[in-house]
Amino acid sequence: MNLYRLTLRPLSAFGSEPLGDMLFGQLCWAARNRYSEERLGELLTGYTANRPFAVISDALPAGHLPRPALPGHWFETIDNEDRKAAKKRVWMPLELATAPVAEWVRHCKAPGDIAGAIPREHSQPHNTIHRQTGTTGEGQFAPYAMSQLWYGLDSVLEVYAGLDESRLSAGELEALFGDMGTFGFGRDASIGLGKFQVLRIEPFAWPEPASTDAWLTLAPCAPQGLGFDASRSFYRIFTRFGRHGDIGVHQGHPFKTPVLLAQTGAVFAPIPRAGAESTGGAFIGQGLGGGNTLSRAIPGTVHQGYAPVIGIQLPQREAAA
Amino acid sequence: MKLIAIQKLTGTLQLVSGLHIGSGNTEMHIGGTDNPVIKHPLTQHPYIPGSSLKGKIRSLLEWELGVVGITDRDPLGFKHIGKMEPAQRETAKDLLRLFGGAPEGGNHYSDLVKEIGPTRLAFWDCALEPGWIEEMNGRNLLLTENKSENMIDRIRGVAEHPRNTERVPAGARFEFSLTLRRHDTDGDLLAAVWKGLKLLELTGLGGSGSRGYGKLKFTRLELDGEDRLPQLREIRFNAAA
Repeated sequence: MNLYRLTLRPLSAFGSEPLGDMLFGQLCWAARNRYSEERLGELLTGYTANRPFAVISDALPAGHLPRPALPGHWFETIDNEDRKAAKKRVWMPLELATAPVAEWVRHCKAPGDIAGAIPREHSQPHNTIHRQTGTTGEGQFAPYAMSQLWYGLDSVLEVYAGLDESRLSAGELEALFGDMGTFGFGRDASIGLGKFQVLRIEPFAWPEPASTDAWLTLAPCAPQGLGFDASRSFYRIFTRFGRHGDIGVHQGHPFKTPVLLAQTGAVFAPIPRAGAESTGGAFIGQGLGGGNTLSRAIPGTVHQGYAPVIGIQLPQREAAA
Repeated sequence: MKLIAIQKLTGTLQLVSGLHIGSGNTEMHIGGTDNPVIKHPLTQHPYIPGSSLKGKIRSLLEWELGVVGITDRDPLGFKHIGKMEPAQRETAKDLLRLFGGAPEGGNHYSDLVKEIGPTRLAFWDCALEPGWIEEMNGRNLLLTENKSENMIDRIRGVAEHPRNTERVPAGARFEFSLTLRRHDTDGDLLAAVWKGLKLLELTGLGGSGSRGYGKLKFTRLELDGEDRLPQLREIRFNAAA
């Protein structure tokens, strides 16, 4: 599996935050529409058996990684630092990411310092036109508001994609992301949201730290039952209430089974083994779904429980400290 | 059914009269208007949301097709197709191909859903043309105007109930974008798109249309770089004349 970095420029507000598992889901629809249902079936062969054709990260601010979800005392203490202000600095410049994680607190930046780091939420009113009168009205025709996420001007986002090029080429991945950007990602794509431009796709390799002993995830992932060292793994959980997109929304029940995931920025340490070296794996996690477990409408539905990872070096601290 | 192309329609939308697309008045500003227009939250420039364009064009096309009597005030959906005259049905299906349909309970229309496929049109928000912004800044003028309105007391013939409405002034230019997905099973869906855009020009956009607000015209219209303005100009709606 090869690692690529796609550079995207947002061209509109977004209805959905571009997280890795949602980007992967829409990538599947784009592949189905562009290449056929059969091709998608081939791409998803072995998906739940640790053989994904692609693993997509969140769209991150260009040149930055999320700060790991570690307890505060796992980072160095900085004298005279406002601890609350330090907690808000959550984006780590990529070129400094080879430093031990304990030192990251010195280098991290707050969202306000990075163009497009955190989209600003803004409400937009909508209404449905009453077909007979051409006006708004009551009931379904009454005005209502929907929230939107607005990236700042000049913001650039980066998506890291692990790719099995025997099944999907980099050119094809770029074309599919181009389709997604042209047509819109996420909610309300046909009415102006979620547009982006793919500036480039390039092979990418993480900068190598001196040594690594844990993974930092760059997308929501499903680590359940994979044998990580619980005393040195940290994450925030959330539940993904998924919903089919594209024409899936019309086929019976559009809502999927909820999935428990660890948020981006999770830290997972493998259980130490005698003589074991850090693996060269580009992703961790597992593929979820298949065989009617995630959706009653589309039995083959899968969900990305994989996440691209970067190796990090944790401090030697006890979790109970 | 397979995606074979994504066509991009780009152009310039110019206002012939002031445009008001309301922003819901969620905040109170000292000196602000009663009815503000929707603005980009970061730049405070007015823009035309894609949802306004899609909704207006769609409802106009439904009227033009004559299905409003069947849909009974609701937007056209999958459940209405079966009730139509055969002559009308294919065109109605094209409308659903272009604009999509709302999810309707259960699996009753799954064959029709598979036949129709995904929504083909994606509207884009229309931002003000940078050249227009420079022009207005160069002339030291604002990007929006304030218009006062009132109601005439029918007996006394005097003005009452004054209110002010914010509008984007006539002459403003917006960058228009629209993408159309072509699948291998599609017929000529562009005919309905031209019709929709022409109807938009003839009736206007946003609020208070019958009072003269929101009239606009395309001064440039290109499909994948080729000029399509003549095609738009040729469309007529005078069957009843």
